[in-house]
Amino acid sequence: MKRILIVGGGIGGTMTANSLVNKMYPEILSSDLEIMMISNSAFHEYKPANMYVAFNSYHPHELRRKQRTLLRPEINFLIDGVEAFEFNKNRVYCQSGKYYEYDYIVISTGCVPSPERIEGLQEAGDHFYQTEPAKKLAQKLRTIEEGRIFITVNFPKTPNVPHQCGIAPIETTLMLDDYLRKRGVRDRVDIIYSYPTVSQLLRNCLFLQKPTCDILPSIFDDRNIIYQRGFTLDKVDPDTKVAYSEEGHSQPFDILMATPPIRAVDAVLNSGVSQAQNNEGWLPTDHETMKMYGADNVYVMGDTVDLPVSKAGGSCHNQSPVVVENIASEMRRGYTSAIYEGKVHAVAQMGLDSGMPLWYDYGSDVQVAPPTKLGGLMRKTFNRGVYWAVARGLV
Amino acid sequence: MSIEVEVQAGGATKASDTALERDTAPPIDPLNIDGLSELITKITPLIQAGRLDNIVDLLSLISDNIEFLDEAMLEKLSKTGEEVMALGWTTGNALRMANAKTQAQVQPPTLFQLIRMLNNPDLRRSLYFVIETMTIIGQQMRNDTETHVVS
Repeated sequence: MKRILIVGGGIGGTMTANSLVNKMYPEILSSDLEIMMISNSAFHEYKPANMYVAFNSYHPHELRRKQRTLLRPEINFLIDGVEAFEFNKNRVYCQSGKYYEYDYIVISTGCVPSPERIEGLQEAGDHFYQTEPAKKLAQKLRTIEEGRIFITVNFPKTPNVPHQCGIAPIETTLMLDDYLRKRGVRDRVDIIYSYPTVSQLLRNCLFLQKPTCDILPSIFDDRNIIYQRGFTLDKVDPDTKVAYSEEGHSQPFDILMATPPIRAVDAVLNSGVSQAQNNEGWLPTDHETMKMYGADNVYVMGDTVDLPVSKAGGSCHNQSPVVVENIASEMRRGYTSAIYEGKVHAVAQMGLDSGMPLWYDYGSDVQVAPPTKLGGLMRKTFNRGVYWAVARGLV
Repeated sequence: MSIEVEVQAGGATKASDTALERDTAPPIDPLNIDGLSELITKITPLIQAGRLDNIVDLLSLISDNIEFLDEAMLEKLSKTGEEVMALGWTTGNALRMANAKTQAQVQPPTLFQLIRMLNNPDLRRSLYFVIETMTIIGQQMRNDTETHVVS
């Protein structure tokens, strides 16, 4: 019996495992194929909603489901942590001490926020990319009465690789503005949004795509949000509460809301395959087939890739069908047949109530449209219900 | 068919799609009065028959419901939707897989084999689930009025 092994129980791995069962059902029925998933957690967490936790609008348990309830019963689900990928032997080594062999493997292990990679950021900074840090930030945002909230965005050092969820810093900046207005303290709290000098292929912008960058100053001006270009966070002094940039600027703060540096998970970092800078660990990925360079039976998706597209669920949603089709095609025809065109789609939360559907691909940037209440409802419906249908491979 | 419309100096426009140029009818330019005229032509029968009022009322109804839809209502609706979806999905998956396994059997299991299957903890768990579900339904079906009278 052949085996397709999916490593990682996040949104990418879960929807791919379910879709593989659908696509490969004849082979599964005849016991010629097994779909196996290894995840280090019995629970699945809807990570993007942690930013709502930071604004006290979600309870953390609402973002979690038992992983097994999201998987089709044909999937052999194991709770274990992959310690090492042995690509030359077509197997993985796990924390349990067991080896699991495979014919094809899909690596969808996400990324890890790593504020410790910038001096002082771990001690003095806050972020909303994991539940516990988001809860900590929520306490601060709930109680701040006056002062300065400084927002900083940190890109990976690997060229042309974005930070986690490209639109999240803008979403949370606008949500912050709305939140402080609702609390009635906005006139006593300054919001300063900053962006680094190098943002993928752009320089001195406020976002990683130019059309959005061009329109942001007017949006920020309308809301009295201060913005600073060319602020690449170098270090933070937790005692004086000052952030320093590589460009020689400094910004005092009462709350430092950061999009922190990120890296691949330990097992991917230690695989020795990555060519990424700064030991970030992104796997070298064919931007069309989603195969890892240097191995013929390894597929990569989601945050783990070294592609220029957003590290977000909206990328996984478009990469997953390509991975599924290519594995099916290779097993049945002997060659890949689907091409990923870099498509990413999402509904951006533009403030607490408004939303803006967006999409882009390798060849075209996001076209900015006015945020609407309907867009906001669409995003909230996705958060509360549609996401779980996506994970199950139904949408 | 893609249509590239190039806005020229002085406001004139030019359709550069070659397939379009072969059409006998002149292209409708959405940027000028011709586009509006086409729209009026399409709507005229609706106005004449008094049916446009229904469309406007429908749009109003949709708009009103959007206004009513706040975060609390959306949360309730989404939760209900997810629970219904999850129930249907889980049941459907189980039926599909059980159906495939049943059809793969050459002979039906003997009575002894069926009883031996009770050793399977997954089967016992699901039987407990069925019994517990029945118990809860039974609780819901209690005749509380009768109980009150007796006590």
